Amino acid sequence: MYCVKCGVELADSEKKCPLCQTTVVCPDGMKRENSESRYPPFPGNETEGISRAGALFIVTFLFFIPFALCLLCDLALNHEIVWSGYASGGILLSYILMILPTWFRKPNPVIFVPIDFGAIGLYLLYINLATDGRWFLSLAFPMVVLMALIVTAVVTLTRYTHGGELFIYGGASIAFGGAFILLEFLISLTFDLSGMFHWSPLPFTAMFLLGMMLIVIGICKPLRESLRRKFFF
Amino acid sequence: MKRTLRWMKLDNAALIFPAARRRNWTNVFRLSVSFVDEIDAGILKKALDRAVKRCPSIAVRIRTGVFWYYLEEIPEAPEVLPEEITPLNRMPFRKIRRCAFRVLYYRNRMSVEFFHSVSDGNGALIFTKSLAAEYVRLRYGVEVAATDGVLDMNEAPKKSEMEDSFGHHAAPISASRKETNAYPLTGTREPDRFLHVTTGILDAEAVRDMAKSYGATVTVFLSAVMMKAIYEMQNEAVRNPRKRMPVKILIPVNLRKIFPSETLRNFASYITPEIDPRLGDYTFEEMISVIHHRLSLELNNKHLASKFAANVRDERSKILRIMPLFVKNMAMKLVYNAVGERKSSICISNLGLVTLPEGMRPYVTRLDFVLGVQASSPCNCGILSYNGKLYVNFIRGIVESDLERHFFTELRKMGLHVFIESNQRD
Repeated sequence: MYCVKCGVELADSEKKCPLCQTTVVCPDGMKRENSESRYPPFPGNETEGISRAGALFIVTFLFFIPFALCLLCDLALNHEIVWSGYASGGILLSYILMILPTWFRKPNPVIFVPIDFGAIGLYLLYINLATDGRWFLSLAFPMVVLMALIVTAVVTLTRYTHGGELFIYGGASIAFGGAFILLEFLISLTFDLSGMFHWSPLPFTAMFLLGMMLIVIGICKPLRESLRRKFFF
Repeated sequence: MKRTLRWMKLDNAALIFPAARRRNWTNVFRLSVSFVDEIDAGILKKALDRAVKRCPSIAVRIRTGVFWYYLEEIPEAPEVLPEEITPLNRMPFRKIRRCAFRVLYYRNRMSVEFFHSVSDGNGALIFTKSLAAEYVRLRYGVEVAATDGVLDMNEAPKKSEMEDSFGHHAAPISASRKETNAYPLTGTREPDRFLHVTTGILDAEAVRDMAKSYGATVTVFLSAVMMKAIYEMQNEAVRNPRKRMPVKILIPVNLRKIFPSETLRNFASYITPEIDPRLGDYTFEEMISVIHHRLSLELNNKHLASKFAANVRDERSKILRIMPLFVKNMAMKLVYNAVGERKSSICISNLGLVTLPEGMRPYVTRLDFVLGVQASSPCNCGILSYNGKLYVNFIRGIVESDLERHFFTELRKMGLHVFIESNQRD
């Protein structure tokens, strides 16, 4: 067989010209005697990924160096933990938030979100104790619990329900708005500030409107379709 | 008693390959021998067992030292594997640490794929021919004489076969390494890293006559055809002549023909003829002339010795020697990535006319030489002649087949008959 375009003779195994991709035209009655390729069929290439465990060990080590250095320097200078608790605690918290889930092949956010908020709560408790502050139980703890509940609810619903994302995120937006109200209330209560609700209505209003807008979009199908058309990319 | 395994320093040319490797790329090349019958894997393994003992400098694995990589003899021959994937499929470095070559078989074809640190094309050809000769001897019961580059399997390995010849023949002063960048071949990378192998089979006599009609050797003639193909591709891709880049063809040179050496390890240099399209249009005859004169000028022991002397000097530098391997690796990789593949558009490696001992000739139908793709340069070309046929093997890691099309249609236009086969997917 010859390629009608390139003029080269092609092996019987070639269904198209390897040079110009022109399909081989086989006139009637002409048999292709040796139509088997000289090469085995290509099953696909295996890719050599970076060793996950190795990379995580390196990252863990990179986190460990400043963690340990802060503690060692503080102990060497002050013979007690003065400032390094905040720095090392922050590094440990960052590790739990960013790296810990990556040790698992399929980390479930429904499990890791409460763990993350638990770690945040403990870090705040440490700061509260270290600074002799009296704000943990009345301010930090309820806020962390509330945020943990909202975020866990959002990730659980997103993960285990199909559809309804607009309602979930709309509801979450309104709940976060409400959290600002609670935050200002707890700040005033904890630090005996005069007057309440100076600034929190502003973010609440914004988030409430955003949440309601998402819910309305979720309810109104024609609006949803119209927006999909407009924002298609 | 446990056998002490030989170890060797990497030769001067081999140093770059482990350092320059990437996660999905190692520098490998392949030599194939096709027989009249289907391969018997059991016999091939027996032949390999003997070949491995005869060639301890090739039957090696790469080991990591504190300051350098080194080669260590493998305790036993690797398994021969059925060829199940594309030729020159990635050879992961973890496998190179176990054995730096692999022997594959598919129907009537036996292929040996070498990591380039082990040997160059000519050293590997000797090993492959010796392995094929041993296979023929065991399979067909014929005696094959140790001639035409086939090693005597009953002989002990010679020290001269394992030497690093670069150090012995380096000139006292080194030539400048300064070179201009070349026009790079580019295209759409195959997403699954499929490598296209396209083989053009031509009548060796007809090509030789055609080359003679231009007053050139086969290598010069085919390099000029390649140069013309790339020159035309650049003209199509870059409309503004002032923005065009030099077209440079890297032609490896077998230094064993120039310096007295029996080594089976790397002992090759290169010459890079070039044309600069910014200076004006070139005819094919002018390209032939450029390549011919460049080879004539540089293909002598003095020039070549000064060329590789620069690398030998670097290897012997006390500062470099005391640097830990990982620092050397980073430096070499940086240099390789910055300049390594930018100094030529393509490599065209011609092993020339390959002859076999008379006893095995009736059983060997064909030989092929396929170079691997480079890390960034997507095309390469390996050539050899055997039994009146010239086999031009292109390898390509990109979708577009423009280079092969230009190259083979150019030969076709000159009146040469070209037979094409490939591993293309449907």
